[in-house]
Amino acid sequence: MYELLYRLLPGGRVAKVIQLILLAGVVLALLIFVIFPMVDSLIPQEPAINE
Amino acid sequence: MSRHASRRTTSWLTVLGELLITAGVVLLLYVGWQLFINDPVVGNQQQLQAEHFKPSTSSTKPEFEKISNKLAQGKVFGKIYVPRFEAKYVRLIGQGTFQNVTLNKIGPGHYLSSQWPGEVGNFAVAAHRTSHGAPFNKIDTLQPGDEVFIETNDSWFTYEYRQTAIVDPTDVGVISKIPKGMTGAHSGGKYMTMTSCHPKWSNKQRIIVWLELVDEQPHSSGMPLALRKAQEGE
Repeated sequence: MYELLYRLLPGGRVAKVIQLILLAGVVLALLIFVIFPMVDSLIPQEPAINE
Repeated sequence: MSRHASRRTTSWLTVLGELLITAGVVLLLYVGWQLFINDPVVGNQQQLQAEHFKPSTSSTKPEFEKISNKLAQGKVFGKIYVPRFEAKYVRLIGQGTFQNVTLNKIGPGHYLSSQWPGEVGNFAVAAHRTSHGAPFNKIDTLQPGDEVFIETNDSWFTYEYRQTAIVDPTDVGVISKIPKGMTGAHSGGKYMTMTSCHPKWSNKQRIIVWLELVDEQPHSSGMPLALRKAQEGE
């Protein structure tokens, strides 16, 4: 999967590595700012007694 | 098996392995985000909000009683100070324990069925132990001699630690006027109950901390001396 991605990226080795780092950054930002908060809101954490 | 078929099998196994490793890394990132990014950031925001919030002051005692009956869910009516958690720990207290209105947005929430601070009976407050700023993350560290301070627009209330218990989520008696299970609780007593999840990251049980009112003073007299000393690290 990652090998295929590496092959699909254009440019030489340095360009590919830079693109991979940028892609990883985008994915990480997406996880931190969108996916994780969304998942967090779906996980029940009930600190109250069931009145 | 032909060489071609073998390569294809290896390829699918490789992809599956990579997907599983990726999922593991994402899960680890989630835990790291929760522990080191989300809770500290949200907790810090709640702390700053509470520090800057000024309860509208009044010199007359009945003022809070007047507004208390009209408080909507999620309306902030006071602050809670717990020096045991952190010297300058302070959080807002919102009305009600609805997650999306109070607990997830403001922090600690006041049980609608419980009494108000300083009243005869039980002033009960719930807050997250993990996630959403985790206001009661250190609830299990409270011990004899610890004090918790409540500030409203017209008073300061000092509650002293009495007891910790682990109960089922359905044990509603723990927040009743005479807290069920609290040693020495009696009619006419003025109690406070803090509730949160137990164990951490689980909804299985609730951790309960009971406290008893030991002092009350008008808001105009300023922060209680014990709290000021605790905040200054004395």
